[in-house]
Amino acid sequence: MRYAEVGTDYLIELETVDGNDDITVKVELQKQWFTGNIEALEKLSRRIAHDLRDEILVSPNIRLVEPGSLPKTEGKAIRVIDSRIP
Amino acid sequence: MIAHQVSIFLENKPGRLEKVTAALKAADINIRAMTLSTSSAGWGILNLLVDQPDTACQRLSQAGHPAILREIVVVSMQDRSGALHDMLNLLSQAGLNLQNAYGTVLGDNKEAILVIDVENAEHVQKIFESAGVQTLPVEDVYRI
Repeated sequence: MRYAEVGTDYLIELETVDGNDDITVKVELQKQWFTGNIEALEKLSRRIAHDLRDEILVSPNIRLVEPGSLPKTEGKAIRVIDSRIP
Repeated sequence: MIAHQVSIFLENKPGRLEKVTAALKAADINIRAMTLSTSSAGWGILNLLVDQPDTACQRLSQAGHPAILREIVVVSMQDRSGALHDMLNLLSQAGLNLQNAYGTVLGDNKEAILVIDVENAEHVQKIFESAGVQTLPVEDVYRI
């Protein structure tokens, strides 16, 4: 991730919603970038979603999470959880 | 001098709010007023008016929460119909927009307060003062 506001860890969750594939990207909001302003956080989410859509050609849901809350295995970040129904 | 509230980023998940209250309880911090705004994207912002905002913010940050002090103006008004409207009218005439606000009636049911989160709190405070609206001094805000 190239956004200072959300650090480098991320988690991609793939699910089936109403028969369609759905992609959610979770990113950790960095403490020092939090201003208490809802609008700023929504704008950040939109910016990340827009940039990712340009790269991967699908629109992801962006979910901001608390710092340090993304799962890790033996110190390494888990990057993808695929829960889609075949 | 400007008063502050503590704003905290929270995921909208069971137990998240409780983690905040646990950190505050451990530091013997008393919550005087609060508001919680949630987004549709699974997170929210908790705004707390507490008796020791600096300590609260520091303890919450140490506990891993994104937390920040935000300037507020606390307005005192009579507990009567129309009092809030009159006060908001001043703000709208001055072209000011509220980021967030929350209010309560105080114990004797004669006075009500409104906590206003605005950009440039000092400017807003001056607008109220010049219009004769009473704003609470910082030490009174933390004793509400």
